[in-house]
Amino acid sequence: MGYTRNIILLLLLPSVIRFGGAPRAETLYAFRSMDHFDESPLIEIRNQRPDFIFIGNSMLYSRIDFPYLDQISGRKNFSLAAGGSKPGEWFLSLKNYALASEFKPKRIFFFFRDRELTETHYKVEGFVSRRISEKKKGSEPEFAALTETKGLHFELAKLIPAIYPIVNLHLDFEHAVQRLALSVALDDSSSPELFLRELNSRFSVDKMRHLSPNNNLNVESSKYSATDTGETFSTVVENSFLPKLIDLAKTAGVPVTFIRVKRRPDQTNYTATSPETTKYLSELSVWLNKNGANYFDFTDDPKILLTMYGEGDHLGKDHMQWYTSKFFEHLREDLR
Amino acid sequence: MIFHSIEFLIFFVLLIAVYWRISFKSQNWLLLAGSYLFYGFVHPWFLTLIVWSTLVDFTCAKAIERHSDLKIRRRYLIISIAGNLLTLGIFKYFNFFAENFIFISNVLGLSLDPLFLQIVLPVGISFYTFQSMGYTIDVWRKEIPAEKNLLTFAVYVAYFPQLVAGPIERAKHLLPQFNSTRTRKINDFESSIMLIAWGFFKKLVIADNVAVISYKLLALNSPSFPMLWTGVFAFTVQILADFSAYTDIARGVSRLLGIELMKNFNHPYFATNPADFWKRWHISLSQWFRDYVYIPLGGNRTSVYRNLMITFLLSGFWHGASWNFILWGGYWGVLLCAWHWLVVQKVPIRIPKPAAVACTFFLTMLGWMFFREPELDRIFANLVLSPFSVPAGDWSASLFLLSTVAIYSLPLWLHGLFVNIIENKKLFFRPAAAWSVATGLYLLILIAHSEVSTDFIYFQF
Repeated sequence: MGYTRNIILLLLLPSVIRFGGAPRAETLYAFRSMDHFDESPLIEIRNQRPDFIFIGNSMLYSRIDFPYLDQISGRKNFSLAAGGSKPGEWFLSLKNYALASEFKPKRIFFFFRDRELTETHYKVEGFVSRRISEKKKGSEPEFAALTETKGLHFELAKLIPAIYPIVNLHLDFEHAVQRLALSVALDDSSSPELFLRELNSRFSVDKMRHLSPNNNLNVESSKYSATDTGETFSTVVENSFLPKLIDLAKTAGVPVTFIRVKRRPDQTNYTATSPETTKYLSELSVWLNKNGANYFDFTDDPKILLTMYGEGDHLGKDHMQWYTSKFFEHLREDLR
Repeated sequence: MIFHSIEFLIFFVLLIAVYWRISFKSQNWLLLAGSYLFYGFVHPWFLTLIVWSTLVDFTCAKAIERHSDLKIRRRYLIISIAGNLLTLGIFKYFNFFAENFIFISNVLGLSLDPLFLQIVLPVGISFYTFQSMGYTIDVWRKEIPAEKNLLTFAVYVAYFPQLVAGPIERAKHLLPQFNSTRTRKINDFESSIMLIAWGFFKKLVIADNVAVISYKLLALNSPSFPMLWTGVFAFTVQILADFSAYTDIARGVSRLLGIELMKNFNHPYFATNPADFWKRWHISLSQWFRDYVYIPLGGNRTSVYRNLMITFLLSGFWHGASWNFILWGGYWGVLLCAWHWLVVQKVPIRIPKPAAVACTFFLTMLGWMFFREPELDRIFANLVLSPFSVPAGDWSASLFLLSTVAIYSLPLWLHGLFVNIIENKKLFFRPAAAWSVATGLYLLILIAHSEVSTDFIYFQF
């Protein structure tokens, strides 16, 4: 009984520590660009006035060599790719960057894998939440409505900060560690914010390497393959960001094209798709066409080989130009 | 199932709620059922391998004990070892051998179609096969009697706290505990909670926060000298925090069940020489290789340098089916040979202890660079990186990241520095102190945990 009492006390103690309170106000986050809208991509779009804008995650930036695409297409192409991003983030990028200026591109391209377009709750919180908050202008009710998470697991996750407000000290703790490390690395005259931005740029994707395929024989494609959920396209589409993406583009008068990438193939250079996902994609294709959007699928291209892949579904850096020229070849009409 | 998950918490709470209310034989049944559930939670088919390993070694050990004819005894020993090595060979090493066979064939001008197995590596296979093999060898050596009860032996092989990442227990230490009534000793509960809290702190605060930095730095295409070595230092911290965390949680959880597991780490980064390091790092594995490879080869009685190299090359290979692991093992073999020569030659080594610790730490860090980098050509490129041609800003960037790693890892170094006070004086085994520390660690985990949590590193072995 003494042990049980002690365990219960241990679990309850953090709940009585209330000074964690609500997440801290913006002014405390001196070194983070969070909790305020980051308009730098918008400024860049206004300055560059690109013909085409691309939105996606690492499936996009591990495939398209944008300077090379500019060269072969004779057009200006702009990337809003963000590593690990999903449709929630793409919605914000489309709304607050791609279509937010008085200047409108000729077309917007979305790169996705399998069922990604209707994944709503995935990667809208946790380590991407800072990046997402930088893309938000105000409360973003449409975004909030769709990402209002449901289910026991999410309710429990929301419960933890409510029971233990002390977890809200997490970011303060990270800040304190960061400030301490900066005090060691920088002198008084250096700007911490500039230093951190420059540090982040050292890890941009073009500076990161892909492991060669031979070192990833155990990183089989099934690890990344779409998981069959038992849900059909028609049951999930209305509660996803996909209609919102289409509506935003239609309202702005900008056509869109959706590109399904080829996941990592097997040794025969073939990428298997389950019957459920095949049916889903067939319905997706019909729905997109019905809503005036173009769709292209690279999955069955036999010339995209296993040896071209780096880690997981990412293409190796050495094959990006080849892929970019393939992309231009297939989507020439859309890139006029 | 992983320790830092809701599923494990629910599993363990339910298990322990029943465990202490039943007889010790029923406890064994409960442990077996729980262990199989724990192991087969994600991939149920993994269970076929562990059951196979259990049945083969149980049968072979009994046969070894039953027969007096040396040839027959040896036959069963070979069946047991071959059975375990075959399992490892297929699931862990097949693709490595296939890849290298094809490479050699291509060099010789023979064009062969590649044949690779697309199978998932069963978690923990290297651990339980070695633990099970060790049992059979001990029976062969007549160091222990063969276990008569299949249930007891099955629990010994599948015991969930140490199944997937060790420690690799010895039958003479663990089997008797499953054959006797468990008792709750004084201070067991407090020391268990301390171990578990400290383990979770090392994993969720130190290892996972530092992992973000090590991953990013070691994934750079062309790292500069300071960036690379900051990444290697971060990985050095990460791997100790991660692996020792698993062992601490395993020991704490097991102690709550009345079963004592061996200590697997003894502050290895405070070692004063290479031999000392291997008495402190992954103790169960180094003892296994010492007793079942090094000593049978002749130990330091004959051809000591050959025996050391073979032992460490095999140890490296145990870690992974890749040349960099073999290189890492060979590297340590060379270091141990050099140290042995110095000792045998009675070369006077008079350096202050802090300097000895620093030298050994640097050598360890260098080894981790081999361990972490799968591409051999990059290993050599890393070794020749110049500290003089460094892009502007890299030194301060490295210093920032290094400081971040140092801040997160500070508790690890303090624990090592004050280990005598913490462990030997049993100060924190007093209930009030133990609960206070556990509470403090728990609060720190809530505040300082990494937002990105990863699997334990040694799961991949």
